[in-house]
Amino acid sequence: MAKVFVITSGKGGVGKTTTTANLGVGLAIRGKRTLLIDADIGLRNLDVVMGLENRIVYDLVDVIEGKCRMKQAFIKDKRCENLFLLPAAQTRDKDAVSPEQMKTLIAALKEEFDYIIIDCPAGIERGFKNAISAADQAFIVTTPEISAVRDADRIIGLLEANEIRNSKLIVNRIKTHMVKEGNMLDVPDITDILGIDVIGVVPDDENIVISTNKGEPLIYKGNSLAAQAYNNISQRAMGDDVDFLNLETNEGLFSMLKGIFKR
Amino acid sequence: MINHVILKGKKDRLSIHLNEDVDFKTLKESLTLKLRSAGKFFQESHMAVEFLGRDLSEVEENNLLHLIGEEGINISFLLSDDLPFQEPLFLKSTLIDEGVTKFYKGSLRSGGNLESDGNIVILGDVNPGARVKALGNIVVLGYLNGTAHAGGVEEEGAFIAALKMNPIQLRIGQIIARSPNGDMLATNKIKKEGSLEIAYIKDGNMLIEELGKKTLENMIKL
Repeated sequence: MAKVFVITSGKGGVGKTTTTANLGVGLAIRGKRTLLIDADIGLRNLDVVMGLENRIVYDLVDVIEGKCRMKQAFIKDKRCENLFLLPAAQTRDKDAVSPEQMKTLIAALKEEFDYIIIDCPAGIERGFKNAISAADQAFIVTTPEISAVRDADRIIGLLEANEIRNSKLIVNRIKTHMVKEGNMLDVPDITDILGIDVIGVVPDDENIVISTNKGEPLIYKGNSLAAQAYNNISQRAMGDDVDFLNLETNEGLFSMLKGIFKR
Repeated sequence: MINHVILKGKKDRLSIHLNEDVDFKTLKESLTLKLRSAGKFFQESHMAVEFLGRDLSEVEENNLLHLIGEEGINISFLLSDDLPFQEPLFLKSTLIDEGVTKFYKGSLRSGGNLESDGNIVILGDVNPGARVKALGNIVVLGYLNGTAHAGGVEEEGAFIAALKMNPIQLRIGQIIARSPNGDMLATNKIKKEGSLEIAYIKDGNMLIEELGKKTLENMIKL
């Protein structure tokens, strides 16, 4: 029976799709059969981030409308055997699907996978309701910006109202030097307001942009801090206890050098 | 004497059953008689009153309420047939000092909206983007970082208290106080500490002070 995660945030542009892609790969390379579902009908992105755009024949709406068999719409990842994508339709909108239909679809898929990850669209309307309808647990992505934290707070409230509790927080795109200078919210500032557990902190990393443009999730290149952070999130999602990264390592080295010169 | 009026004491109210068929004057007389025969039992008591068994016009209802008041019963509120007990019709004068209090357990998140025709006590935080509105007072046993509106439209005797105040906006009656336009980042870094703070109106200005002896004296002198 698959565990169903929804990746959501309220606000747009905080990194839901990037998180979905990297978490999916992270689980799949650990041997888990994983399905990614793009619930952003009309504004699909996950296929692009995964580099699978040119392989789409059928999509989520086709499956729900019975235009194809379920398995025909799954796209197997280029690099990983265990990873599949169910893309959203681009020519339709959110109203093409109802929460009940999503629920039925995912219930039918549960037997075949270990994890199902749903990429939720921004906003709190139909698309959001579709995306959360079948979720067991939510991962809420936020950036250290006040507006993103506000929206995350609203989302947590809506999830609780829909009986989805025990949501986990992913703080994305944090800049350690800005936090140190007091110009950015720190993780404890965010948890003070939101009051939920953090499952991962991902540092701001230019490589994300590069990997997104290439259509190859960053986690495949396991050396950067952001990639490590995604690996850790994947392990924690599987229930493992992993220590949080020290995001200051680079800076630590720098200040060590400065210390030497001061002498 | 025929029982035109039957009094029944219930757990939370005094139910007064009225005969449908007799004329209003007879009804009034028998109500007075009934209350007097109950003697000192009702004297100086505060209670909720409910009329049953007969459709009353507003004038008639007020007439009977006046009569009950004359017999020494203070009516804390009136329950009417159309309204469930959760939404009693308050008599305005008692609202700030007493009345129904809504207890809310948990934090109100952004987009959350809690309203009450009485007082509100929240056992949790009020986050930015959430709104609390009471016709009476508001007490937050947590951090008030959202918007709170006490005292309805006109009642400036109401207060808002919280373990730590960092609200976006406070309203008491018509008076609005907003968070100073300081550094957004600083105001959103909530340090989870502090002592009970209270906002109230004095001489037309909203004061926010730590709740201590002086503040209490100030408030009592209102």
